[in-house]
Amino acid sequence: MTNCYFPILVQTNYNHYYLLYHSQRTIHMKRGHLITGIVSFFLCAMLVQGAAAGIVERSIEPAEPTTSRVVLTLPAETVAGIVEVLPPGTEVSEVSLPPDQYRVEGTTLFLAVIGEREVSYLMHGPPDSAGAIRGTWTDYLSGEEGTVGVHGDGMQGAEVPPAVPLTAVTPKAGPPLPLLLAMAGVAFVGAARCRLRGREGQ
Amino acid sequence: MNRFAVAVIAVIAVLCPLVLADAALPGDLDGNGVIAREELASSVLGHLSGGTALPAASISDLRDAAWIYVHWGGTPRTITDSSGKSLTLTRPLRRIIVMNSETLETMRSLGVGKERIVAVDKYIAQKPEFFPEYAGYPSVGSIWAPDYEKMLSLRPDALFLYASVSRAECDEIERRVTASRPDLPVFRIDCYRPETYLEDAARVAEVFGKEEEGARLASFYTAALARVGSVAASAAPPEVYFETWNDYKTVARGSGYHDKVTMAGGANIFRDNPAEYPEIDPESIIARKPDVVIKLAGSGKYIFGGYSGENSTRFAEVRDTLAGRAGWGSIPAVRDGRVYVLHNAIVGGPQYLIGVTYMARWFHPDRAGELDPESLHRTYLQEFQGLDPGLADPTRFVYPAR
Repeated sequence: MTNCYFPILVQTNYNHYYLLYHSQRTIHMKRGHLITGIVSFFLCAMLVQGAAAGIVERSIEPAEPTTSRVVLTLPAETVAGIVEVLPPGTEVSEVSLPPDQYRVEGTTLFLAVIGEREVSYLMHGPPDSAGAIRGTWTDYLSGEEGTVGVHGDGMQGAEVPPAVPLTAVTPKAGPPLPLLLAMAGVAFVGAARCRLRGREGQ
Repeated sequence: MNRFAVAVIAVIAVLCPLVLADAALPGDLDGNGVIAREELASSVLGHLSGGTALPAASISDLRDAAWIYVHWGGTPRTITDSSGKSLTLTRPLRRIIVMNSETLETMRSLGVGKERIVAVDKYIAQKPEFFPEYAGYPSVGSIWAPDYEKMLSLRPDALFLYASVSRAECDEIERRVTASRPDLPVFRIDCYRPETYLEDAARVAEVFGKEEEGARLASFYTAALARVGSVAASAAPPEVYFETWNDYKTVARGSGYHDKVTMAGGANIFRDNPAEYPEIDPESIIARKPDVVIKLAGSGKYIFGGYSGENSTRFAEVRDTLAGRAGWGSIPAVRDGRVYVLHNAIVGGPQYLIGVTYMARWFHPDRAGELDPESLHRTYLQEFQGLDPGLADPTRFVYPAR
């Protein structure tokens, strides 16, 4: 048998499976354990992927009792789209982008970022509503997307270089998906081994 | 070719243009040939809002439009290849086939990753030490035996072939592929001739929007070759006999190897031969009394060393055999111990600057301390090829190594 560093699943009958994970080592498990393992695998993958998101960050500065200045910062010049969903009862004004680069529909703000490293807008509403903003971003150069992260404690402005004209960019890449899946796979195998040791110890 | 294969090609030929023959610039909403900032913004907002207020662009069109806006200034890019042919691109290339290992190496120097490459030629796939990322990669045969069915089935958006090496074979590939896919850009680029290498690299950089990387590569070459030029110009050139991997076959004016010997500060003793790669009478070598002899390894019956490092002990054996040739005892090169073996991997393609630096050291030993080909090799592998610099071990490429 050739060396195999990735888990391979082998079904021996309806209810019993073998997980081959390195050379001739195997883990024997029942179907229920297998399902638990698979669910764990995907949960791990989702958690790790989620941790990789947040390349676009939001910071919020109180301006007046019912007004906050929201600042979105990008790590590099790129072409990106950002959707900010504000809580009900709030309004947006003074978006720092040219008028043809944003659109407001109700409490949803659509932003087309073309080379800007920082985008800001004012949000008017109850003082505690700023923390309820939810945002997503898509980087059209790298193909990456994610949720907008919150900078620091959410009350400090981010220090970023001023916006400059767009030139060639090198977007910062997050961990590649194969790496994330490999990490999740390692976690899955580790969990399965722990279960095996537990059974052997019984 | 059997009927099934003909049918497959015919179906592909009909379908591919429907998918790929989109000559319009993505995101150019007013059709004026330029993606303006306003148009890009409109496309982004349309995509984000799902087309509720503005037309929604497809994600692939939007990604291409963003790329073109950033890298090509929002306009189509016209590139003239090494054969003088102009090709206009309206999309970034994302599915290319490369049948020229020197161009692939140059792409890697420029940071063009394999995510843009759908297939390579079979010789690239067979060099796992130098092209580890393409080991087991889809292969479309070689320029002598191309697999047309596979080429077309991979739906490439460009094909890269040699401009002047095996010209007839490459012309035939271009003719047959474009007969099925008239819209397919076929770039003819050499990337191995010293006199045109940096121009070729600049063309490749332009195709992929890698101008900054191209400038960095050009600086590296220019600086290395300036050091060689300084040493080469410092003294009278020694008389050099350069033998290819075919015994008694040498090089003359018009060949790339002749240019490299000259660049390193040597005088090729067969420079005036009318053929570029002449076979010569063994006696004529003795009569011309070369000061330095260089034997090329890496092909024919001299396959050893190089990036695979296999059978590197044969370097010494080859050198001893050369020195022991009948009548060679009287040649100054043999008498003075100036017979060298050089592997083609560092002189035949884009790495020629490394081989030329080794030769300049051999030709001008009094100034050898000013040149460090091993360090140059390590830097090239590490900074431009993303490979282990340990592969630059001189015992794999030259003899004597030090």
